[in-house]
Amino acid sequence: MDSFRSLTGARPIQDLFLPSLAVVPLVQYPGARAEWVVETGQTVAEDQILAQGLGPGDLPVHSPIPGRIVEFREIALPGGPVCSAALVRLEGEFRRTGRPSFKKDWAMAGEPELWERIRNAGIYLSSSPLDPRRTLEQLASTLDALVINALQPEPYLTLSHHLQTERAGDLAEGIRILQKLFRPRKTEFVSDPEVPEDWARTFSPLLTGVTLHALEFKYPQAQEGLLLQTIGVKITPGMGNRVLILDAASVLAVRDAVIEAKPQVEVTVVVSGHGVTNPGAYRVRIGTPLFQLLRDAGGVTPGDHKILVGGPFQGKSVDHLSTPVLKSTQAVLVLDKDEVNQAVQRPCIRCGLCVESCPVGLEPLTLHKALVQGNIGLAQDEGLAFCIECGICSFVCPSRVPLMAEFQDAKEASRGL
Amino acid sequence: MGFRLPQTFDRVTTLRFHLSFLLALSPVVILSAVNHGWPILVTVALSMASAWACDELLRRVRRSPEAPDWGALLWGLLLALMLPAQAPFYFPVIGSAFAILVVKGVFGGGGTPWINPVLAGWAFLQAGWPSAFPAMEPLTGDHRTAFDLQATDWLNANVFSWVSVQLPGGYLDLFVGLGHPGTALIVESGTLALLAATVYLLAKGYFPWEVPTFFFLTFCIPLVFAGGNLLHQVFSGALLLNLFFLASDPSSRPLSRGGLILFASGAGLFSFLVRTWGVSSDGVGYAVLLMNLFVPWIDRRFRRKSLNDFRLA
Amino acid sequence: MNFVDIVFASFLANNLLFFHYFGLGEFLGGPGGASLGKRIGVLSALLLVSTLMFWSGDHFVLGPFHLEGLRTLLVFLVLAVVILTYSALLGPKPRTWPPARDFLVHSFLVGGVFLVGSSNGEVLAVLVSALAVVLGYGGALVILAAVFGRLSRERIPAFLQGLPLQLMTLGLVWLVLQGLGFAFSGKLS
Repeated sequence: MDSFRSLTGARPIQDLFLPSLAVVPLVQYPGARAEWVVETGQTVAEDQILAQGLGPGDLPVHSPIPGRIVEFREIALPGGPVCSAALVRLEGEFRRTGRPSFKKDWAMAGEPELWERIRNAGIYLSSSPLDPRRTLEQLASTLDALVINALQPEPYLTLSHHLQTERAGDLAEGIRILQKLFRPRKTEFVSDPEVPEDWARTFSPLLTGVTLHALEFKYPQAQEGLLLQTIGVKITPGMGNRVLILDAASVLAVRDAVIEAKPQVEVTVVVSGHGVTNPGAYRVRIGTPLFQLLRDAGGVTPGDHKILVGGPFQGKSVDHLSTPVLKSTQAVLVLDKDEVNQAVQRPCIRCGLCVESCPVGLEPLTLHKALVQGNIGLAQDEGLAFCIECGICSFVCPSRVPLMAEFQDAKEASRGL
Repeated sequence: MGFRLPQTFDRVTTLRFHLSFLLALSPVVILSAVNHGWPILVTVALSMASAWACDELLRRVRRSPEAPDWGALLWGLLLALMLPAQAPFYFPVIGSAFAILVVKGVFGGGGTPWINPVLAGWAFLQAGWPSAFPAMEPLTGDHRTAFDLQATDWLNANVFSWVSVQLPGGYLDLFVGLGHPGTALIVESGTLALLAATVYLLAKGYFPWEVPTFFFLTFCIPLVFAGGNLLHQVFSGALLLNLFFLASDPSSRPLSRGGLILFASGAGLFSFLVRTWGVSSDGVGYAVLLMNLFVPWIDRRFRRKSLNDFRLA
Repeated sequence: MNFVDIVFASFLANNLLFFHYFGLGEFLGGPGGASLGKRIGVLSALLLVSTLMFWSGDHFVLGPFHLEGLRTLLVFLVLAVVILTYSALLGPKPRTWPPARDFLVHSFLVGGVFLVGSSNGEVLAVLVSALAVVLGYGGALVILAAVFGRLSRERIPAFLQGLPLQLMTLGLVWLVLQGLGFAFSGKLS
């Protein structure tokens, strides 16, 4: 499987323009619960809190631009959910942007203060703790392992790669901050660099007490269970309280919150695929509609495209380009037909490619045969429950059998039993 | 929650796969037609048409939801290649019908019959009309064409004399596929094109290299020890066709690599046994069929014993 | 050898007899029981011993006295020993005398094997053929178990499931095997 690193890899991160009309949804990440604390017509400042989280683990939403709230509208986000969004028209002056940033010290600060900075920034941490019921603060000092996952999770998604290249120092500083906050027994830093020696040479002087792992790109090597096994962290039941996996973007967001008190109104997004003229990584405010993002990044090539938020395996289709960038957006892909390679479904020819590529060791074609007959019991005997839903089987199947969808359906059905 | 599905796919599609095989094999048919005349094309066309018609019938009756693939066409073509050049018209029709309706249809109809339908259809025809299939030609040197005479002499004089080896007459005919009397199999007259097709498909990675390699080895090594005529054996009959195309048919070969090696070795060994001491005219097909029977057992034996558990909590 | 011998040997004896003793019937609804390996072992031993017994009786007793006509009786006697021993070693609690119908059937069947074997004359050939039959049959069972296992996952139309499918499968197997005749005195080309 191609990583498509060559499309975006070499280019530096560029800043994009601010949106003149920002669309800020209430739901910025899966599972968000928040409520608005502003009203229509209200003037808001940059970084002002627009919505408060409902529960202790829920994040506030800050305004990405200074302006006036024009209206609240229901919008449909990629993947389905409909939620309320605030439309903010740009006006007024900037509080933070364009002014010199004020770096705060953290080495001397106490932990409660650091936690407060993080909480106020409303940072969305992807690859969140394995046990979502506990907040990050509760995890502190119980951690066996802190794992920094700087792997490329799927083809095209080279965000970690960009961040490691351009902000290595900040990334290392972020790791040190995390080590102070969590005091884990061990820290692992995992990456899949093109040149492992260079990468190790860059990071080893910056980090102490951190084990570096350089892996090859092989989807789904970033899947949590697989990753932990590869680096040697044992998987045990109830370990959600003792292992924390964070990706590179999250680490940098923590560092920015602690040192510059920056709330998360800006994300770095990888724009890739053969359908864009200038693939690369771009810094953009949340709330920027996709059509503006794509236009400012250089535009889209002529032809029919499939547009995704996220990667080809776990991403969601975009229906309309007024969909905004969210805190949880890491990539926008514009794919044309020869990248998608869709085809009509045909009978299974027993080529065995799915068996060869399954990381768990299942036989997807056998599972498929059992499920086609409606025999979920037989499928479970064959190991259906072990499926990690990575989607490689569907990807390689020449007959385009929707294997992963079938397995997901069957697992849902068996959960309901 | 919303399902996450892969939004992109790998390049290979089943249609492209079958199409490659069909295209790669068409020169074989053409070369054979050049050697034997136009009736060859009729046989091939009848076989493919019969296979297609039966496959469509199956799909209608079973109300299969998927789009059709061209595997039936491919099997029709392969069956025709295994027939003698002068087969009566009902041979391809009945053979293909048996292959598709009985072997594919009764046993699941989804493209994964457990024995190779082409070989089963061929065996069916042989069982019913044994006299129509000629015995393998011994190499007598009587039928050498002009090409063979000249080319053999030239090669012997210029190339093989360096190695002090003399190429006996008749081999080039065999290699290029000329000069067979009219009772030969269709595929025998297209050997050169067959080899070219194989190279092309191997380069594309469309069939596993383990199968032809081990099949070939386990066939040739005992043959050499038993004093048989290697070149003659390899290029006569349907050995090459079986070796490359029929043994590696995805629906009736093992899934695992170790299983493939075992399967191919068994096929080669049995081919050797059957060619040397067997009573049927060209028994390689039976050897492969026999190994097909073992395939479900091989798959069971070579299954992964334990799964990687990557689940959390 | 005459036609009746051939019928016995090749059609019935190899199928129905071992059907029962090996439990191929598991797939067709027959008895289960002890493991396949054990059954192969026991039956091999029994067949070898009984073949020897038959052959000795034929050679040393019936022959010198020209009583070949009494072969059938000898078969019955040998059979009784075989069946009782088999049941005692592997089966459920042995009844003192197996049901008469089963016994008669088995006698004729196994007798067929022996008749063919004995017309060959050489003790070694007979023993080898008996052993080969047992092993080949056991092997076939292992293969067929896997085949039926794989078929159970396919979408077979309802009207074909069960007996028709098994018969078709066995028919295809026969199609394959009928082409594999060997004649080991042939020449290489």
